[in-house]
Amino acid sequence: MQICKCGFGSIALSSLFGSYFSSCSTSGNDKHTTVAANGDLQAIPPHFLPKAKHIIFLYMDGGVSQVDSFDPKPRLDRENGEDPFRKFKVDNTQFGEVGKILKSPWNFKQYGQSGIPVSDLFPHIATCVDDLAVVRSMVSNFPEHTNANYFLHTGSGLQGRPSMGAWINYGLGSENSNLPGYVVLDGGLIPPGGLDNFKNGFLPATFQASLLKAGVQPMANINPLDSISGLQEEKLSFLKERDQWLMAGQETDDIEAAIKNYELACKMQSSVPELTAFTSESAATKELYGLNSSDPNTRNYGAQCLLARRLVERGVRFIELTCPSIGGLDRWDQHANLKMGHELNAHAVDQPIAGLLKDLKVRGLLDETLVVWSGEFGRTPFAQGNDGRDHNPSAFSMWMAGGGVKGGTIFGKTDEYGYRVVENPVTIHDLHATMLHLLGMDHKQLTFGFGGRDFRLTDVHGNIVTDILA
Amino acid sequence: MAVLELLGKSHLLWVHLPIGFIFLALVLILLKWKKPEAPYLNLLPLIWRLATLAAIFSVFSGLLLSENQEGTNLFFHQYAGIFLTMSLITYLIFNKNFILIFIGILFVITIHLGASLTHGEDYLFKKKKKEITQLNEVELYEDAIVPIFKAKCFSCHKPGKSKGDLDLTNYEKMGDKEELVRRTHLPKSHKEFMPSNGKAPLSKEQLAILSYWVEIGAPKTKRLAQLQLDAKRKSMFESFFKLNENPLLSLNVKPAKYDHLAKNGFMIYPIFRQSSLLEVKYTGKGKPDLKLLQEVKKQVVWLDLSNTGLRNEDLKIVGQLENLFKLNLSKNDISDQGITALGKLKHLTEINLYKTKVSTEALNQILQMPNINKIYVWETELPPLYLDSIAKIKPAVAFIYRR
Repeated sequence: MQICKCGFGSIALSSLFGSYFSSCSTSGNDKHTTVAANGDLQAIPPHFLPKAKHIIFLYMDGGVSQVDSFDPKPRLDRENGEDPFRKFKVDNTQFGEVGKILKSPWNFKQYGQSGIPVSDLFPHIATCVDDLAVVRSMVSNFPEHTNANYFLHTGSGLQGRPSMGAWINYGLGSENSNLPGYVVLDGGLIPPGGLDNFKNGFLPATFQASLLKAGVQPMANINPLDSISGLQEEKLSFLKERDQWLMAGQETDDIEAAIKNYELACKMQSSVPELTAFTSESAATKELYGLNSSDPNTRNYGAQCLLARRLVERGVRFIELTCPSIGGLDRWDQHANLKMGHELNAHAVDQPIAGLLKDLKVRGLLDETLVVWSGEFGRTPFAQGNDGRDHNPSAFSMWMAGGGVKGGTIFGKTDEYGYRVVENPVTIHDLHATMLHLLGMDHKQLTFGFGGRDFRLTDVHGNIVTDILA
Repeated sequence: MAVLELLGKSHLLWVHLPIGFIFLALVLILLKWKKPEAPYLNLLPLIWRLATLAAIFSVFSGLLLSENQEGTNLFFHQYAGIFLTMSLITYLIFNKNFILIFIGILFVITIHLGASLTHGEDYLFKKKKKEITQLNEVELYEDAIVPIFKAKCFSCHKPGKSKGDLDLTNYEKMGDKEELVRRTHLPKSHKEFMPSNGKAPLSKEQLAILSYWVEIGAPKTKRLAQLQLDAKRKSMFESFFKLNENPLLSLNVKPAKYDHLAKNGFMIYPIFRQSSLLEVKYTGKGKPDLKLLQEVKKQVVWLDLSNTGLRNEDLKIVGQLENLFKLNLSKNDISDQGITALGKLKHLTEINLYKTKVSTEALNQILQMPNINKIYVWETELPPLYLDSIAKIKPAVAFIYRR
């Protein structure tokens, strides 16, 4: 097995012993020591001078319509109700219910010194445009949610690869050994594709996401079950002793990860309650995030955003916010009822996100935190049925703020209908490469050997979008 | 074979010996005229023998070293060296004085050509490389294109070694410049790719500059100031001449040991791999022992002491960390009095004072710092309206104080 570690030999052996041994040894990957001598996860310096140290990924699950948010298209207004087949080549859509050209139900206004246009869906975020780099030329390879989600989160349309957060923790370690380095704040909706969007794939198990739910108990078992103090520590020490005996002289990744997992869980029993208690936050702050809003969805998302800021303060590397669960709506995926659906979704996230950006900025955290706002694809400029929009992977908009990004800029262009990109397409791989670049990592050097070759988040693709770098 | 390669490289060692010995011998011969009885003249035969032996070693190692090389200079150097060695041997055998003339001439030829091979022909009279401090000074051809050619092309395309009959040192004789662009932009595996023979391709930046130069007609004497550069091209040249490099990267300090700090609640690590510059954040319980920071006085560039119970007196030590670029003192009970200790931080670009008790005096002090460009003063004793007016007077500094 030593000779053919990653070949058929190990497959045969693991089938004999069950999948107990992890596939390839990480001997080629030893250059990454994210574990300090005392067992704590520690931070590793990046390849070169970084701009950002944390990423908050605001995931707009379902696909926000670009022509209704950040990419105004007057032509849709003029040609509203006309037949798209007479205008341009119409690609196949998910549902095939191609309707007429549909103008945006919302008006666009220009904001800030940069004059970036934002629709009435996001009046609060609009006040922050001078800090945003809006990319209008995003493209995805997949028109369907599950594949597109995997693609956005893991760089591959197929299930099973490590997610962005896992790669970033693998590359940079964690600044806080009492909290996981990769946290997903569950607003109620796990994206299509499930938790595999947040997993570690073939990277060591410590790099998968930890999910925090909204509510009184953010995580299962966060309160110790043992009433006698010290008893839990004794149990864990004994477990560790037994595990280390088992580890002696064997492939140890999974066991080591399990040990680390228990230890981190133990620490989280004190760190998480402190994290989720907002008692130290001023009334003004709570108001800023929308925690006093009459809309319960705004209150919930506001709590998530505030939590995200607190996580950044505590050194967590990668924080993702999922889409809030709003009754009667399927995320941003408005195949019907575009107006009502997008409005309810936007109302939930608009004030909290603006609050987050402003709060990060005033505390000096925005410069070192890259905030990414993106869905997995866009929507069609023509209707689905009467009042919805179908998926459109050929063009969509997203924005980034903070962390070394040039604010007040627009990058990339779509055609006059907002249907396809005509200038400077940015792929998901390019997005990943740029995110890693801002963290001080060369996306081509952050690799992991698996199944006989080196993998990376961007696989064999990815160009850094230099124009939006400050 | 690695051994042969090493023996070849020893040529650079051996050549110094015949140079020294022959030179010495020639000097002694001149002295012989003046002082024919000087005792050290007995050494002459020995010196000639040593010179010959050293010359033979030089020839053999030189032949190994020049294994895959070619060029006119090399050709003449090689044969001059061989004939020199043969002349030395002949002199040892026949001891005729006229041979010394040959030795003298061949000696000069050999060493001159040898030196040219090593450090370039124009070494003695080379123009000193112009220090570019501003884009306006740049002459496109002379200051950008020629260095690119020098780095990637001259080794095969200069007088004396003009592969493909192309001499790029001469602007008039350069020929089709679009061909230069075409070839350098080809994929590396392409037959006509340049530079050939496994040499490193032009960098993205070099390619962009070369293309730009040919695009505008490959002018010989145009300065950048005469060209209308758009923002993208401007930053391309700025980056090429390293005019916009982060001053952090030009700091040169020795690496420091910081285990002691790490054990005492300080989270400390290099700002990027292999850098000796450090980032420090206090994450321990209780007050930080700031005296420990003196161990990394020159290395700390980013310091985060937010919410660590700092008092004004503590800032004296912080003020001694001479290479600080970013300083976070937020959420501490400090005021104007403490800030006075920070006056010497000449590199400081960013200071975070939110939720402290600083007021106008501290702000004025900070504004004196030569490189300051970002000041966080939310929730301080500074009224927002006051800050509005200061911000107008100091447009180069970013003041952050409103949500």
